[in-house]
Amino acid sequence: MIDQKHIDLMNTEIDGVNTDEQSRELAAFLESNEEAREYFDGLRATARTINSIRNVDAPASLYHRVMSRITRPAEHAHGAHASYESRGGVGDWLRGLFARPQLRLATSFAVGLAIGVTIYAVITDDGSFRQPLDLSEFAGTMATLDSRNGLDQIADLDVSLAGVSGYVRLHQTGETLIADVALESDRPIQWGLSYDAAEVTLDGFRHLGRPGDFSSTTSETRATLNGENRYVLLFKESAGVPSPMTLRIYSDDKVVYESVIPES
Amino acid sequence: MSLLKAQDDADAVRECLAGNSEAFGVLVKKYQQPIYNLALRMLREPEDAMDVSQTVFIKAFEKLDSYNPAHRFFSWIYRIAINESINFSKRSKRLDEYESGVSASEEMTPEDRYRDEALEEEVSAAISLLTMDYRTVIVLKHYNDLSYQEMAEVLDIPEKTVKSRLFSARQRLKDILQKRGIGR
Repeated sequence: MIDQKHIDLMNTEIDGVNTDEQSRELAAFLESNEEAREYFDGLRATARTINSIRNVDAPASLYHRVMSRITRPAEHAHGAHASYESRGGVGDWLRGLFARPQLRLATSFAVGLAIGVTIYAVITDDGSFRQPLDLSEFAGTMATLDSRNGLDQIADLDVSLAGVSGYVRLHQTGETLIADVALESDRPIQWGLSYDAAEVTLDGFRHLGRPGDFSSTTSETRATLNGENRYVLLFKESAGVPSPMTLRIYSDDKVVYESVIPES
Repeated sequence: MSLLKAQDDADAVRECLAGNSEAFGVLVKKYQQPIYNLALRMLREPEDAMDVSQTVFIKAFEKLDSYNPAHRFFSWIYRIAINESINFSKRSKRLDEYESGVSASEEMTPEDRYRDEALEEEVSAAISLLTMDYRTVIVLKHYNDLSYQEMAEVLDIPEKTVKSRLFSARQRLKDILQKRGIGR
């Protein structure tokens, strides 16, 4: 039988908080008590085993997931410490309208129409923006991110690979698809979003953060990435239903990741 | 926990409360690793740890105005993480099975243990057999490297209680691991 005082001393020895005097007292006790020695060896081995399990890195997408939730435009407008449950203003008003079944359809139509008109007005502001081949002219010409409030989110893909993380979100209103691509990479890579050219046409884009090289064919939009950036891409789609897109990530021109959104 | 500079945290919190939600990113970057590992060791499953970690940060952000700057930020967010992990485990059928010992056998042969991954799995399984009180102190001590005093601060219990709970938890874990042929 080992008394509690010495069991406590064994534990504090393992935790490295014993004074020299306490360590000496414990050593003398262990010297004279075989049962205590065995017990201490077992306890120390247990602590070593627990400690042998190393901590792991948090997934790279965690930061993006958290920050994308807390810095959405609606929340931002109401201050950093505003509770999601206690938000007010236009966001709440819209949410209230959507919550009432009899008004949902009319509200959806009105919001979609208003956003569509806004986007159309911005894009048609300069005739050159309607020429999809000269895509560099589209940068910064799209409606602001705030105009996305009220759009339906139809896909939310988290990307978490070794060294590459972030998300791709698809929003839709009427015939407009908006792809929000926010990725971060610790090495030079390319990402590409491909689609059926018969159903989807790139109509414009906007970039935030560090821009990379951007290119587009009729069926794929690609951008280089080394660090962190975010593109918001505007598409027109003619199918009337969300058309699937394929996100690919390339490293040294080889596909290292592929995912279809929205999932069928 | 010298790496946790309280002044930096206080500055970031102040900026957040002043309306700069980007400042919260500093806190997320600083605490994402310990919070994720805490949740992982409490819950075992990486997907669950990811979900809980995300919830912890979002709740912390939402409730930032209720944070009392007289206390250290790390103890506040660790407490949220522990509570979230406990709440999550209560909702999780999988963890209920582990806690009742239905799916996790304590008896295994020594021949089975030849890989690091297997050892990690065994230790995680053994930790999951502990009660939440015991599991919490083991995780805070061994994986978050908190002192007795810091653990007392996080758990809001006397340091003496922390010690007795930790020593009992270690004893229980020793018994479980030894029955499984580990840690002899």
